[in-house]
Amino acid sequence: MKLASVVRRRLASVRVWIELIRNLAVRDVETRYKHSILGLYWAIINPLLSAFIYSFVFGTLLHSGTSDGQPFVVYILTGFTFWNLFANGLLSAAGSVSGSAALLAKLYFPRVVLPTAAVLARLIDFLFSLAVLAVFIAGYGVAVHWTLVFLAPLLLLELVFAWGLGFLLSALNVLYRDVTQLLNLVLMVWIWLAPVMVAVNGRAEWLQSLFLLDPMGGIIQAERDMLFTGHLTSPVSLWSAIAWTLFVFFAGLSLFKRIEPAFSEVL
Amino acid sequence: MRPLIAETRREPFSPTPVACETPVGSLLIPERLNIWAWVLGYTAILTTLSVLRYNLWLATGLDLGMYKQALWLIWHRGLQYPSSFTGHPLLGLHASYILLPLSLLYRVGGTGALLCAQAFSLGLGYLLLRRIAETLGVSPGTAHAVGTAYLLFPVVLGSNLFDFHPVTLALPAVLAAIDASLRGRGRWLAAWLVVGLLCSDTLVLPIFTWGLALLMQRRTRLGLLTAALATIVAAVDALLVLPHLGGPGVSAPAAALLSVAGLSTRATAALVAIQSLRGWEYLIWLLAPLSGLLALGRRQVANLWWVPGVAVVVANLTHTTPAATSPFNQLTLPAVPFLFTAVLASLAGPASAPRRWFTLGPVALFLIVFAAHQVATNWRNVPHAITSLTAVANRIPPTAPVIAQNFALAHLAGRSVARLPVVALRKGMAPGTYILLVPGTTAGTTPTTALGSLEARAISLGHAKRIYHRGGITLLKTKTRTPGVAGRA
Repeated sequence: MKLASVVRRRLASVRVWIELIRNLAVRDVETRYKHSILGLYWAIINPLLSAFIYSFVFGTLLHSGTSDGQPFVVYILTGFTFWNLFANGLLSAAGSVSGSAALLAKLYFPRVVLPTAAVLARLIDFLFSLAVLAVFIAGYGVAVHWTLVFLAPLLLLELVFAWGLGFLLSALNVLYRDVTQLLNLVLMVWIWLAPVMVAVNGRAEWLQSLFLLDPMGGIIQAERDMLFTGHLTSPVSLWSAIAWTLFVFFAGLSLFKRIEPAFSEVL
Repeated sequence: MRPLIAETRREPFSPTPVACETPVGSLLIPERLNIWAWVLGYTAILTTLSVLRYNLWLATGLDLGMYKQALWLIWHRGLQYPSSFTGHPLLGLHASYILLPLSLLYRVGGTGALLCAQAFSLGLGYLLLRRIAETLGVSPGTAHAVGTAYLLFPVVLGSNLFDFHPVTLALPAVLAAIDASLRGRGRWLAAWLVVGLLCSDTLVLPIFTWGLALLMQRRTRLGLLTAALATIVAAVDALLVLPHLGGPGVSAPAAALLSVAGLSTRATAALVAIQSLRGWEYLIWLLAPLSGLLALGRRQVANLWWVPGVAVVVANLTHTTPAATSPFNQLTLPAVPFLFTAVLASLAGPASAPRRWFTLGPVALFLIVFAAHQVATNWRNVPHAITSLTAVANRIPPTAPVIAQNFALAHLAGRSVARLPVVALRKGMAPGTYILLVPGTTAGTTPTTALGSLEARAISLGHAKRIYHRGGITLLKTKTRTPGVAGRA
């Protein structure tokens, strides 16, 4: 009886949390595009423009390519689509607590919902990017494998990784505002350490290992594999990414909860 | 062009639904999250290192290959199909019934899942030691120091990096059983002991001696339960499982019982081992971290928790195989839960947290020594041209019989027939067998001469043709049956 009441109370609180996260995520998307003329179309224009630029630079000027003969523009756009979900989610999450000082002063609510909503809000942009990617894949006539259904758990893994890092960075950003500046630099380097613009297949085994032991490298390559080839380049390395994701999530949440009492004081 | 969202259709955020002060769960308590972060951080680091060793073809211990084949055989051929490594089902090696659920994990997640499960299982020991420390009344700072020492303990780190072994999965179960015994929960104790004993029968000796220790503490009910469970598992294994599924060495019940208990008939061997440099090295690697922990504050050093751990160490010293006295493999792992519980029992009582330099200094020193030792032993002999090696290995059909050196078998053993070259020389080779040889890499048990003889025999007799021969890597495929040396004689 007592257990049932505890479970009921907790389920009720989870429902309130979900509602709160949904509201904050919608607010995030709305405020981002509210006073712009093109509104949500920006979510399509950005990846489209990036794809054209990179396709021109790498494909036309540098004649880069992949070992399996896939059009490089499709390869890059796929990498960018999945990378942007992570990078944009992380950037939004990092500033989510420090950017909500007024809200924190007025209302009591669990602070963990702020980075959560910031990461989830980026799913809207991601869906538009995915539509652009689908057009490119169809346009270049690249075959898609049925294993693309496994993209869902891989995307979840990527989101959890961004979520965990989001907890960590949003809490640190309250104490040190350099964090967001530093994060931009780190992401600029990190993108070259993950197989976003660099093809791993056909590289030396040790280099491939290094690329895929980076959690984001392992996840992005697995997403690309599931979309196009149907077999993982390195299934063993994906387990390393899973282990790091879980660690980052728990460590991030732990640090967030530790710093949380100082939020109202600092902000 | 009309923007998709031109105006705010509703209030972006209303203060009304946010009266949620109920916590989602006790997991969100920072202290608990912190403990889980330690467990998962260890899991992540050790999984990455194991994966790196695997990717660089450095998993030379052969156990990973043997267990991969055992799991493949259980899933595809059934429990009783003999392993090509041992000649009998691997279930009969240590009566590791955990292989049954593991075969499903291997089927779904492959080698990475095994390595990750092993790292997580050993990492969980930190959480359970913290729990035991809480039960014993050890201060959180001291408990954290002991937990960290456990994670860095040579046996734990070495077992994780060495290869894969099911006994590593038994460790959390034994620690949970210890916690249950301290809390006086008989049912939980029995349940966790059964789980532990089903992982590997190598736990019979420490669990039986633990039962005796509990009886000496006048905890009769728990002592009898523990000793009885160990006896039942030993009897079932020695009388039924090992004679039926084990090799010829354990067909007699007496030999099987000695094998289950991990004991040697040579009682004087312990004296011989203790006089050898190897024996001392073994003891120093084990005892140095433990004595460092005891310096945090000795109270009840002489406690009965040492008994099961010491029993395992003595049994290892009497063992004839040199691997038994290595502090870097799984053979000493059954002692670890008891040794660390003994340390915690020695440190029970309120105490100030250890000073930071006191903890960090020895940890840094240990990591430097351990890393140097690892680099000098396990991280050397990376086969040259691993990119080509991977490509050549991928040319071997997934179900074809294969002969390769031990570092390659870790990659190729997930099939019905996989053998070392020395065994193939003795037993012969069936037609359609693929032989992968890298004579330049001598890591492991196969001497280079054996590789040369195998290739020469297969080629000169016209039984095999070369499929690939470049950069020190040779891949052959047999056309007809090649008789073994013993068979020809």
